[in-house]
Amino acid sequence: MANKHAIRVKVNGIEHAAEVEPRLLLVHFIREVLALTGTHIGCDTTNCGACTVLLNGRAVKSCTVFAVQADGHEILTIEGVAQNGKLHPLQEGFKAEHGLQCGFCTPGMILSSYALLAKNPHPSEQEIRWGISGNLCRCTGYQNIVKAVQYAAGKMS
Amino acid sequence: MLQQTSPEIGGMGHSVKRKEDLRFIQGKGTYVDDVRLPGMVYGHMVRSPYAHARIKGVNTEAAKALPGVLAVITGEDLAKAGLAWMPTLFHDKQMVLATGKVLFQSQEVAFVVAEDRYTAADAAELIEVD
Repeated sequence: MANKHAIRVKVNGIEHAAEVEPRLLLVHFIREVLALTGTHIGCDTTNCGACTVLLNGRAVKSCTVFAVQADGHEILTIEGVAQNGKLHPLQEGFKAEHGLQCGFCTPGMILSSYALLAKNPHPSEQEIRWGISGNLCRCTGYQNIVKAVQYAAGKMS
Repeated sequence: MLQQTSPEIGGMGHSVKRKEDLRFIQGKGTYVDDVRLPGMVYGHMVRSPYAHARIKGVNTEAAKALPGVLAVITGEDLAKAGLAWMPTLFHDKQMVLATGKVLFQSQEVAFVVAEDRYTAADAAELIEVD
C-alpha cells in the first residue's frame, strides 16, 4: 500500500498537509492522523451520524468520505466550534437544556445542527427534527436535543 | 406533597447542572476508542457469513505473511491452549472463537492482530474459511 497521496486540508482553521493512502477514511484521518478524537465512530456504516463534520459548511458523515476527497477543502470538527474560548450557542444550549447524557452523539448532533442553523436560522420543531434525522442518540432522547437547538436559534437571532 | 429542600441547600426538588457536560460538548471526552497507549496494536474479527455451517479448515497463511500482522488466532489455536470455551458472567460456557461448527451468523471465527487497523482488516480478508 505504498500508493500515497499528498493532501492539504484546513481543519478548524489550521492548514494540515499529510501523505495518506487513498482508502483512508476522513474520520480516521481526523481522529488518528490529527488526533482530534472529539469526532466519534459509532457504527462504521453511516447510520448513526456520530462522525458528522462540516465539509465546506455542509454536514457530512466522515466515515463515508475519503481523506483524499477533503483535499483542498475546509473541515470543521467539534473542537473548532467554540471560538476564542467562548462556547457556541449550540454548545450552551446542549448544556442548558440537558441535551446529552453520555455525550457520544453530541459532537455529531452539534455539527448537524450547526449546518441546519446556517441555512435556516429559525427552524420549526419539525425542521429541527428533520435536520438531525441523520443522527442517532441512544440515551437522552430527542426532546431535549430539539430544545437545545431551539435555545441556540433563539440566542443567535 | 412535593418534598423540596430550601434553595440554599439545593438537592431534593432542585435541578442540577451536570459537571461533565463541558468536556463532552467540546469534543474533549475520553471514550475507549480515544485511548492511545504506547505499543498499542489493533484487532480485527473474522465473522461467519453463515448461520449454521461446519468449519472444515481455516487457512491463515496468507494473512500471517502480510507485513505488519502480528498474530492470527483461530478456534483451533484456542482449543490447543484450553481457551476455546470460556465461562461467562451467567455461569455458562461459550465459544470464544468457533471450533468445528458455527452456530449463528456473524459468529467469531478468527481474530487478527496487526500494527494498524487497516493492516488488520486486510489480513482478515486474506483468511480463507472452508
